[in-house]
Amino acid sequence: MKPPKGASLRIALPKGRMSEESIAYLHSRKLSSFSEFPSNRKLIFNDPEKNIEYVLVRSKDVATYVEHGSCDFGIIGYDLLVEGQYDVFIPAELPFGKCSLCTAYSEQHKDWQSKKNIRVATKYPKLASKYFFDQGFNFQIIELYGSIEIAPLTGIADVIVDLVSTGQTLQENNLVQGPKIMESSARLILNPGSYFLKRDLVQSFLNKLSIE
Amino acid sequence: MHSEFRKTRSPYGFPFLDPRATENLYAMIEKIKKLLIDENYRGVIPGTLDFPETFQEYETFDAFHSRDSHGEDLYLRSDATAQIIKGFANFLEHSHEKINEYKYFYVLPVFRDARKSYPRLREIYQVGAENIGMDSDMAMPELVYLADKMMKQTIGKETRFIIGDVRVLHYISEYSSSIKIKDMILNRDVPSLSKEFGELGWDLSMVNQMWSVMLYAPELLEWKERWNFIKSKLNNKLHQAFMNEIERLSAPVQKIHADIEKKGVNISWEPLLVRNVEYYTGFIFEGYVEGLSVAPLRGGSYDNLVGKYSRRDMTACGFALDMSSLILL
Repeated sequence: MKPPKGASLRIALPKGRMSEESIAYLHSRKLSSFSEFPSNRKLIFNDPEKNIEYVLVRSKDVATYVEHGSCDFGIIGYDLLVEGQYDVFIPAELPFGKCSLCTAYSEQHKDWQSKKNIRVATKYPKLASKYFFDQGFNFQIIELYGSIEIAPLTGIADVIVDLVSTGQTLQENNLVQGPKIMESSARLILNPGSYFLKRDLVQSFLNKLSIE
Repeated sequence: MHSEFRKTRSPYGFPFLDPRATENLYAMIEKIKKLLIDENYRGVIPGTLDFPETFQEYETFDAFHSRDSHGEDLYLRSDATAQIIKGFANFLEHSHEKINEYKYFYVLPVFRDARKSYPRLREIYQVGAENIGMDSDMAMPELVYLADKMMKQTIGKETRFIIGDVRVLHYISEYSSSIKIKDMILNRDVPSLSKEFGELGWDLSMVNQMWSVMLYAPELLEWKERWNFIKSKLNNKLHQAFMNEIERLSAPVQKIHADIEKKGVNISWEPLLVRNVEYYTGFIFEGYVEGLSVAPLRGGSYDNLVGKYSRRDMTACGFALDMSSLILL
């Protein structure tokens, strides 16, 4: 199958640390001409040499851009992918972005497991609900969008569910890490339509990543 | 503001009172109808409501339903194929005519979820063709050729088809017995599938390569070469037998793929293709068009569906084209 004439690939990357790790990794696989993004406020970067355009978006939006076909590929944490249940293909796991989705609590709420009803603050309502339901807890999910660590300290929740990579943020906020819910790392995602319509370009990209 | 909006709009469906979109839709349908009538397909119109067991359930299945005066629960149809085949089976039971082959088409809306991450009921206007009684191996090349012609004539753009065989999925599902396997294959999730098979004792690096070749397959010759290479690196005889069985199950669809390609259709073979609807029994195909990220055309063979509703078993195959997405182009 031949791709449409003049077709190129567009890749959605999450703003922040993962975009830096992603571009460095793609550069190491000879898929990007540059190893880091220029430090300006631009959100779209073109790599004419490799015929690839990069789009920097919020991490939660990466899969949406790919699912709707606005971007062909995307790089996203596995945690967000499972939480969002997107209609995208997942050709590979990438060797960065490793972390765990864990429960955490403050010393004053250390008996949370024995409570009849618990309040759980999280950015991951679906994954947290599934976990606490499977564990047999009566629970209430409090959905927050950031600074989850302060939820037990301000009394809004008994326990939190959040990503932990080194555990330093938890320590600095006097929280104790509880049971682990899942492990996560970066995943390459692909729009199904792009796979079938730009087959040669996509195959060549995957080959260079040594995924095949 | 909100009440004003409610007075002038309808949720879920086609933008009614959009004469230009309606004209486009009618024009496309007229072209398709002519093509299907020329190919001896006869038009039928099943009811919008039907008993729930006719359809496969989906997340928003109970968004709208009603009860008739007999106390029967009726739901909006999520699919037309099951209804048409059910109607055909009824016709077959009560007809004195000896029917061996029949071709039907329909133009109607179906109601189902738009997508997994956005489970909202949507009205999807579709055109479909059902071919009953003809052997799938014989009917499939003609059917895909017709589907291709229909898409090209309607939108005047290049099309790309893919074809696979759902029996490969059935075999893998039996082998793995994990309830998550179908979702993983739907997402072509190589890391999760490799992990799943790693837990069954497969060599992790080889199984990762196997899934990559299965789900992101290169052209047939290269595929065979790489498949055989992976097989030769496996020490476990049972794992080699698994790969041999996949190869055996893939042979018929590879032949059909070659037959369709000879007809000038831009088509590629997919070792593993999955469909959400359960009634498919053999070959399945999808048609893509530039500008749409999901396939507007899907079809395949469902050889057990007539037997589900009648005492006579008959093979059947067909496809449906989502007109609602085509008018967006």
